[in-house]
This record gives sequence, structure tokens and C-alpha cells, in this order.
Amino acid sequence: MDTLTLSISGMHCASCSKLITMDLEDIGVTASIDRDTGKGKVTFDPQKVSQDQILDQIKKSGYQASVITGGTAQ
Amino acid sequence: MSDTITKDIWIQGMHCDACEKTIRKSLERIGVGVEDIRYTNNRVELLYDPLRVPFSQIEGAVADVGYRVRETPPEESGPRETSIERAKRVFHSFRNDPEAYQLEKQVIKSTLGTLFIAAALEYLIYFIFFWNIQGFLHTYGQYLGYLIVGVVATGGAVRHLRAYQGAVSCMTGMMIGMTIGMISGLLLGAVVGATNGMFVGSVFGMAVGMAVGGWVGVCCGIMGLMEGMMAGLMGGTMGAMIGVMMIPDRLTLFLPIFFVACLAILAGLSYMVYKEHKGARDEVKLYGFWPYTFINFAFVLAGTIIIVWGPKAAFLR
Repeated sequence: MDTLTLSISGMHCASCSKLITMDLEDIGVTASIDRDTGKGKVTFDPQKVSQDQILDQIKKSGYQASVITGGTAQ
Repeated sequence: MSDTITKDIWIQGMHCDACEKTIRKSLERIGVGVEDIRYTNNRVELLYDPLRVPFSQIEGAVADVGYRVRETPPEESGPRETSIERAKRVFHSFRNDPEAYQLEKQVIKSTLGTLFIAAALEYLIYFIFFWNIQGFLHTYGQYLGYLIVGVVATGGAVRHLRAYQGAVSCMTGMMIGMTIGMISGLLLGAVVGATNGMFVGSVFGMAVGMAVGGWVGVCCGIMGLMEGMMAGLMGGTMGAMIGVMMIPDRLTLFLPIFFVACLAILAGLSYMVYKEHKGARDEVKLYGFWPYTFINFAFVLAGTIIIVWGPKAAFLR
């Protein structure tokens, strides 16, 4: 499993972070997002989902995300 | 074959687009179609098969994302209570229910503590620096008193509201920024305006209102920040204007009326946030007593320095 730390902008309320978490769950990514700092930690299987797909999915939900730190397989 | 039916449910507390989408998503995951959902309207139209999805599952899916389902429109649920009955009920549960308003009671207690400490420190300063200046109490006494009350009351409200940070929606956040920015600007602008005139009163009121309003408003992002700063700008300049223009009229009579009105607004806002977001209790965290008391006193001190030594308009010298 890979872990990425993302910076997400455009979140306004508790529902926004919930929405992103749910949309990421749909593509098999576990996310925990702290709306106060705008940072999110996502865990995913690199065999099934790519980093770009994750960023795309967040964009589809209506928010912008960029990668702060990326980790390779543990 | 499936027997789908349409059913109306009512969901209160949706504030924005994202609320709408999370509910829709949560329902679609359990196989319930959402025909119509708008956050501006409590009514939500569902399309589902009651044999496949029991209603309790729908209630659960909506509860998972933080909302409650009603099967009747909110107006029709039970006889409506009048506002006097409601005020009585709230007052009664506040006094007699140990479970309710725990955070609020804690905030009120710590705010009274802050008031006591700030007043004591201010008295100490008076005793060290000003007690032998003739006519000091007569000239500044009441304004310094109002300054302390204004700062500590705003501080208490901010302490309460900041505890809900992370739980509030955009709309509440904007309301918080606006009210706090406006009221803090008005209170401090009026006091400093009355002692120092339009210029210093406006600048001080504006600075405090914009800073505090923006700071608490930012809990819902740039919208709240802007709303808080704009309201602070308006409240600060308006407060100074009230202070200066009331001097030739009954200023000493007006200030208590004005303060009571402003404090009532702060109390109302705190109740509103409590009522809207008490469901998100687990996200509530309260700030420490001493840091907040220290910040409050720093504002009192800044105000005192400006009131006593700050530049004054020609007609106030």
C-alpha cells in the first residue's frame, strides 16, 4: 500500500471533506482529511489506482489537490 | 420485479452544495435513487424499493453523513410552540438540565473569570499609574469599564464559537465572521471614539473588528474571512461615529443601552451556533483559560493605552 499526503483547496465545510472522502472510497482509496489544515492523507494500492487518478477524482468532486509528499511501497 | 416507490422525506440542516452531494451519494450507495434534492429546500424526493431497502437503512445512511430524516414536513411535527414558550423551555433546560449546555456553562464561567482577572489587572494599573492624576476616574473611569466589558464579552463569544471550529457550515461561518467582526468593531469603536474622536476610534475599531472578524470567520474559508473583515471595517467606523456623535447628546445614557443590545446579539449568535451544530459535539474542543485571558487583557491594555495617551480630536483635548 502506498501513502500520499495531499494539499486540498476549496473546502468550505464539514460536508466538503466528507464528500471527498466518499468519492475517493469509490475508487478504492482510503482518505483521512483535516479540513482545518487542508491536508489529506490517502492510502491506496498502486497496482489498482494511480496517483493521477486520485488527483483526477478529487478534481471531479470539485476541489483542487496537489501532492505534498509521496511514499513508495512499504 | 422491483416495486419502486417515490417517497418524500425531510432533511434539515443542509447548507451547501456539498451537503446535498454527500446525502445523495450516501443514499445511492444503498441503492436509493434521489430524484430531487436541493439544499435550499428541506424536502427530498426518493425513488426506491421498500422491500429491498428498509426505511431504517435510509435513516442510517443519512445519519452517517450527519443529518436526520423526518417523515413529515417540519412544520407539521406536533403543535408549534410560541416564541415565549420556546424561550421558557430553553431557559428551563439551561437551569435545570445538567447534561445540556455543558460547554456553554463552562464558557460563561471562564468568561466571568476572565472579566474578574482583567478588571483586577486594570485596577492594578490604575493604582500604579493613574490614581494621583486629578479627575482621572471622572474622565476615563466609565470608558475603561466599557472597554473591559466589550473586550471580555467579545472574547467569551469568540471562545465559544472557536470551540465549534471544524463543525460549522459555510453559512454559519459567515454569520459568525459577520457578527463578531461587526460587534467587536462597534463596541470598541464606540468607546475609543467617545474618548479620542473619530480618527483614532475608527482606526482602532476597524483594526480590532477586521482582525477578530477575519480570524473567527476563517473557520469557513475565504468567504468567512472576507465577511468578517468587511463587517469589522463597517462596525469599527460606525462604532466610532456613534461614540463621537453621541457626545453632545446623552452618551452616558446611550452606552449602557448600546452595550446591552450588542451583548444580546452575541448571546443570540452563540445560541444559534449551539442549536445548529450541537450534533457535531465530538469535534468541539475548548481553548485554554489562561491564553484567552491573556489575549483579552492584551486588548484591554492596548485600548487603555490608546484611550489615555492616544491622539485626541481637537474638541476632546
